[in-house]
Formats: sequence, structure tokens, C-alpha cells
Amino acid sequence: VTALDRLLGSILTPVLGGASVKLAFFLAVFGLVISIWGAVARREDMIRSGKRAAYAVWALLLLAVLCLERAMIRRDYSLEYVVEQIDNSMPLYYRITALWGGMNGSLLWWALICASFTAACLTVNRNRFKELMPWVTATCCYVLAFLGLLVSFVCDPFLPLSESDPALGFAQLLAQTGDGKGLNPLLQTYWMTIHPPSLYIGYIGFTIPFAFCIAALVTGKVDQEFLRATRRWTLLSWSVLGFGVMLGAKWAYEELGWGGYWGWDPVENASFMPWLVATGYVHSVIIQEKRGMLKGWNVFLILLTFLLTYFGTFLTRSGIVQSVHAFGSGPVGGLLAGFVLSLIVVCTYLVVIRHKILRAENEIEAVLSREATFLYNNVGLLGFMVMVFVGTMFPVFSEAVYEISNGSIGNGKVVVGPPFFNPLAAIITIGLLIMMGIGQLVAWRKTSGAAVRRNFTVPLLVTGVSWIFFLVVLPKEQLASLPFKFPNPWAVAVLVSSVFVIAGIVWEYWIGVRSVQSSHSQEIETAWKSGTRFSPEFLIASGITGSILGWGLASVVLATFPLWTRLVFGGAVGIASLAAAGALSGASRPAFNVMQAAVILFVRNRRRYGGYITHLGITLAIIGITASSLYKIDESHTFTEGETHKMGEFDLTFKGLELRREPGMWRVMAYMRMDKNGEKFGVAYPERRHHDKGDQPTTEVSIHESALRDYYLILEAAADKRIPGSPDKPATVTIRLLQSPLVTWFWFGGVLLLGGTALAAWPERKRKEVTVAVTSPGGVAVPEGAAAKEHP
Amino acid sequence: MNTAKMKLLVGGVLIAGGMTYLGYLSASEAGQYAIGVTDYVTAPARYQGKGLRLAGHTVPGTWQTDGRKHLFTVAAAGGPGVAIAPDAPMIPVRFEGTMPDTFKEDMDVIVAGRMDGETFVATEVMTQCASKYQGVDGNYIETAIKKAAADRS
Repeated sequence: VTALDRLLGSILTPVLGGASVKLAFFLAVFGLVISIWGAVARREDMIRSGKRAAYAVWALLLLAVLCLERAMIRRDYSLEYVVEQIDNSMPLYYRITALWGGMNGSLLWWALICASFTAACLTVNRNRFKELMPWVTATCCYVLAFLGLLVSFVCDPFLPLSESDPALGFAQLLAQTGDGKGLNPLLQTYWMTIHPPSLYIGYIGFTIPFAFCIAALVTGKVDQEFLRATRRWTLLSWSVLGFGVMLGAKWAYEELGWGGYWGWDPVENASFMPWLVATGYVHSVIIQEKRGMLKGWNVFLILLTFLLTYFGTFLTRSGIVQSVHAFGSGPVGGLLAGFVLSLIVVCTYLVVIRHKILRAENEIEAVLSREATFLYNNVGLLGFMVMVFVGTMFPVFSEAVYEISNGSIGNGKVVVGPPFFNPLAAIITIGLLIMMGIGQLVAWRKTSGAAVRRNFTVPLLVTGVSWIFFLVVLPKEQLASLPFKFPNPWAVAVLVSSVFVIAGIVWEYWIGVRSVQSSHSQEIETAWKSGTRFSPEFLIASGITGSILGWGLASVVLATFPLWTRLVFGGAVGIASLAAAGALSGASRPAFNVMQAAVILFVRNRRRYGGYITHLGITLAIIGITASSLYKIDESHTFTEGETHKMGEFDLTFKGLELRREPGMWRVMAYMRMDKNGEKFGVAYPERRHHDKGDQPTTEVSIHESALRDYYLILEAAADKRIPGSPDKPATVTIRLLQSPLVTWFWFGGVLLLGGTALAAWPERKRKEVTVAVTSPGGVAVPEGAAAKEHP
Repeated sequence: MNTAKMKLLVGGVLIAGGMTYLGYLSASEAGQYAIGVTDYVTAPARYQGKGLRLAGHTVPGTWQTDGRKHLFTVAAAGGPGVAIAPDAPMIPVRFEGTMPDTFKEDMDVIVAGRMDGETFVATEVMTQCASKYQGVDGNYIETAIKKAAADRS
């Protein structure tokens, strides 16, 4: 077995892996050519052959990834990539995830995900969209061929160490130390194991809508069929990308130790831009679906989203924009630029020749209509993207302008950072929130005065009351321009517009429930009489809602307890609310009536209310971001051993320094006791890790999370006689304490975004005709949302 | 074009125009010149009081800190692996805040802030942050090879 294993490792793995990526590249080119040929010549056999080629590409890339994984797990140092990413101290877990730790492996991983999406799309649509599919296959194969080219000839993860560039020093390193270079310690964290795949799935998933878009343009069929084909793929990619961006923020928050989660770095911006455009698309596509408008606009948004995903990749891997992240540079940047350029040329050509069919079938009728608010939201989102784009590329643009105006190179480069992005982002976000709130409450086409009064009165009243509430409650600041103290205007604006959105969601749902109650009274009555006291959906919904509320409650009450106590508590509250819901619906007829109507409304309008849950998630995230940015308390103090010092809400005591030896590193941990109002609140162990590899220590912060406030302790410096180079005095530590309110709302909002979108996009069961039969004689009984139901 | 469409168009143009103007204001307010130490020394008047992103090399033996307040000097870098020339222009930097983990003496850094007289007051210190596409710090391979050779001898 050992001999066979060695044979596999030393000969077969690099050969097999290397050969399969190269074969995958050639097959992708073949798939591209044969699919186009088949589509033009209407040859079924060729089209089939193209599909098979795409499947084969997927299988080959899977094989290649498995080969590379095997080499990494077995620490097969005969490959350059393994020496670069793996070392003797890395546990299995990180040896597996180090696949996407470096440029070459991550590109292979990227190619595999792209091939998987392609294979999934071909399988799901095997009997549908006969005319579009060959072009979809061709487009996917074009992208796969490009990735295959990169992985085969430019960034080969199967490059033997013997062929590695000696200047890189990998061969010498292995010869001298018998050890690999290893994954960066900052990346040896569990967040990095889910954040990159999630981001990649989001990025790469847009390939499918893009491919359908190209197919629709080529065949001239930008119609409902095209929308059906792309909607779910877009929603999937959009929500997973949003979630991935949030996971990246979470990683930065926990691992980088600077107390923030977003710094408008080019890498972050690169992932944010396609998400913004896709957010516009998931809304404007509804307008095309309902009203046959904005065809051209939708096509433009899909194309732009996809181009931005590759532009982002270009930005992060070409070194064109200097960033605090050190990017790889080299030929990849040029190739990516060429690829993006080729796509732009093809897309522009197709849009120009098809401009006639992209014209709208209808026109906007009124400014106070849902389509108008969607349009404004689109303008805002696209403007947001342009703002991020300009800010990211500012150094490049400013340098170019300087060179043109002065005729010389140098010194004209201007960089913009958070002071540029933050105020603009805040203004745009407030505008988007207001539009989101209005959009939920107005109808398609136009909204009558009566409907405006009915839908807006209560949410606006609530918003007004909340405005006064926030003015009173929020901490006052001295503004430069005013003689008296006033709460931060940004905070007031964001919070009040968020309340408007949430009040709108609740009110719209309530109107819907009332409408279902009247229209479905017979159905509900029958259910009551037949002894059906509650539907299973309702029970599940109340259990989940209860669990979430319980988790929120536990986060406040049990903030210092371990996670599992909060989970158990949340579960217990969930079960209790389930029981309570059951009892309540059985005990009282009106309560049953309302609840049953609420369930019916949600189940029958899942798309709409799933969307509203997503809105709720986004709004909560925005509240969290605003509060934690504006009301962060930041203090720092140097303690000697045994000293107690008041910081923020706490009396912090430095109890001692702990030094712990672990594989590959020394951990220096400050033992801090936290007392609040004379009672013990908890303990914290902020630490610094000194890794055997390299002389850069990493910070491990200690975070107490709760629903209302995060307490974030950073060990900034530590001195002790046991640490080399430290003075022979009592131990001292410098501790920085950050108190950030509502950070958890950001993470929670991200989860709601994913959950709400899943609810909205989950395929519908074939609905039985019976549901239509129970409608009242009056007409439309299952309202597509009560507020939107009125048509002139 | 119907009136609703006209109104929408006017609204859209107003929004877009407003955003552009705000962007322009922000950029002129928050823009920072990305320059090196030599650039500053040759034309100090041009950059006095302006937002700067100063690239330089931290001079060994100049970093003084109590964990929160930092004083160090940056010099014009001769290039990767090149020692600082004795007559290289230098600028003292004052910084209060959390230093990145990766900061050390004798490395390339970017400091963001403004000049205050002869001293650069930094609001942010950026090091070449170890990112996805780079392993442990840049000099690691070189150091490890040297160390292994020294251990053997």
C-alpha cells in the first residue's frame, strides 16, 4: 500500500492533475465551438456534444481538485503550491481549506465552482429553453476556457517544485528546513473556511444569468422565458454574495483586531459593487415581469453585474490599485483585463444589434407607482456602485488627469478613503431606505388618493413618533454649526427611515391579513369547524419566530454565558411559543382567525413576503452598521499586574499574563476580570500570538457579543520578564476596550437576507387548482399583497 | 414622452446630479495625495496642510511606543532589500492609536495624515497586510533559510 501510495503521490498526482486541467481547457474550447456550430446549423448532435463537453470539463476539474487536495492533505512537497501553502504544523482542517489560500489553487477552485454551476444549469434545464440552451452552454464554455487557460498555463497549481522559479526560494526553503512555507496565520481561522467559498459561489453564480442573457440577445428572445430562466439563479447568487460579503466583514472584525469590519478597501469594494448592481436587477426584473418594461435596462444590469465580478477579480489580482492588501501581480492581471474587454465588446455588439427588441412594451403611468420607486431605487443603487467604483479607482483616474494636464508622470495620485465613502454611502442609504419604504406601500401603475391614505397614515404616524423618540433618547452632541446640543443627525435620519421601512412592512402585512380574513372567511370557518386549530406551517413558523426572539432575549439577559446556553434558551422559548400558539389558536376564535389568515397570506405570497423579510434583514443590518459606527466608545489604558481601572461600563482588573506554548506558536494572554456595578460581569482573555514562522504577531481579540452591545478587548502590548526583550519589571499590558452597540444586528440582518431570499426563491410546488375554487365570488381573493391589489 | 416619464426623468437627473456634486465635494475634502518621502522633501510647500498618504521605510531604532502613542521615523526607501542611504531624506511620524500587528522597524509602510510643521501626524498606519495571496511575511523564506543554515553550523 505504501509503495502504491508513493507512486500515486510522486508520479500520478501531478501528472494526472496537470493533465486533467489541460484537457478541461481543450474540452471547454471544443464545447464553445461545437455549441455555437450546432446552434447555427441546428444540429442536435452537435448541441448534445457541447453539453457533454461541459459535463466532462466539470468531471476533469473535480478530478484535478481531488488530486490537489490529496497532495495537500498528504503534505506532498513535490509540488510548488503545496510548499507555498502547507507546513508541518498545519492541522488537517486547514490543509484542506488551504486549497483557496493562494492564487493558483483558488483559481482552480473557482473553475470547478463555475463548471459545477454550468453542469447544474444544464441538468436542471435539460428539457427546457431548447433554443437558448446551446448559447448558454457556449457562453459557460467560454468562461471555463478562460479559467482553464489560466490554471493550465499561467497559474498552474500542479507545477512541480523542480520547475519552480528559484528566485521564489521554495525549493531552497524545503531543502534547508524540510518544511513548507505554510498558510498565513491570519487565514487559519474558521471564517476563512466559509467566507471565500461563499463569496465565490456568489460571484460565479452570476455566470448563469449572464449566459442566459447572452443567449437571449443572440436568439432575440428577451421575454418571460428568459426571466424565468434567470430569476432564481440571480437570487441565489445575489443572496449568497451578500452573505459572503458579510462573512468577510465578520472575519475582519474577529481576526484583524482593529475593531471594525469595513474599511472601503479595494478588495471589499470589489465584492460590494456586483452586489449593488444585482440588487438593482432583482428589483427591476420584477417590473419587466409585471409590466413588460425595462427590458434593456435589465439586460444591462445582468451584463454589468457579471463584468463587475471579473473586474473585481482583476482589481484584486493585478496590483493596479495599491491597497493595504498585498496582491499577487503578474500576467494574470493582463489576461483578466483582456477577458473583461472581450466580454465588453461582445456584449456591446449584441445590445446594439438587438436594441429594437429591448424596447419597452408599456410606459410608466404615474410617479407614485411601484415601478417608479423601483426605478429610483435602481438609480440610487447604480449611483452607489459608481461612487464605490470612482472611489476605488480614484488613484488611477487622478494620476491620469494629472498626467494629461501636466504632461508629466508622478505626484498626482490622489487616494480617497472612508472620509470620502462614508458620508456618500450614508446619504444614498437614507434615500434607498425611504424609497424601499414607499415602494412597499404603493401599487403598480398608479396609486389612488384613498390607497395612499390607507397605506401611509399609520406608518408615517409611527415614523413621526419614532422621530421624537430618537431626538429625546439618543445621546446629544455639540455640533459645530449649532449653538445647542443635538443628537447626531446621521443617526436620526437612518433610524427614522429604518422605522418607516419596518412600520411599512408590518402595516402592509396587517392590511393583507385583514383582507384575507374577509375574503377567506369561509375557508377559515371551515377549518375551525373541522377542528383544524392550526396548520403545520403556522406551528413551524411560530416555533422559529419564538426561537429567534428567544435568542435575542437570551443575548441580552445571558450575554456573558456561553453560546450553547443562549441556543438552549432560544430553543426553549421557541417550544414555549409553539405551545402558546397552539393553545391560543385553539382557545379563541378571533385569535385563530387572525393567525390562520396570517399564515394563508404568507404561504400564498411567499415571494413577496420573503422579499420583505430580506428588506427587514437589510434594514436591521443598516441600523447595526450606523449605531456601531457612530456610537462606538474607544478607550485604552496600560495596566500593571493587579491594577483595576475604570473603562467604559466596567472596572477592569489585570489579573496576570499567561504564556502558553502551542504547536507553531506562543500565545500571550492577558487575564482580565470585568466587573460592572460592583458585580462580576465576566472574564476576558485578549491575546497576541507569536508564530514560529515570521516575526509578525497576530492579535486575538476577546469579544463579548450581545444583542445590544459588543465588548471588544484588544491586547495592544504586553511586557513581562518571561518575554524576551521585556524589562524585568511587573507585567504590564495595554488594553483597548471598544464598546460598539448593535454590531450583532448586522450579522443577524445578513442571516435574514439569506433566509428571506431562500423563502422567496424556493421553487413553488405545483399548486392545486382547489385554492382558486375557494375564493369568494367577489373576485380576486388571494391578494398579491393587499396594498398592491387595486387596479383602476 | 408622457408627463409621468418626464417627471421621473427630471427626478432621476436631479438625483444623479446631486450625487455627482456630493461625490465631488467629498473627493476634494477627503482626497489624499499618495507621495513618497522624497516627493515631500523636494516640494514641502505644495503638501503643507493637505491630506497625504506618505510611503516610506521605517528607520531601525527610531520606534518609541507605550503601546498607544507611537513615534518613529520614515525614510525614502531605496527599494526592496536595499538599506536606507545615510543621506536619505527622513520625516518623523507621530501616531496615536492601534498599530497594525504587522508593523515593525525596517519595513515599507504607508502613513495617512497631515504634516504639522516638521512632523507628520498620522491618523492611520498601513503595512503591507498579509493577504490571501501572500503567505507569512515577505522576508520569511529568506530568514528561515538563513536560520536553518546557522543552526547547522
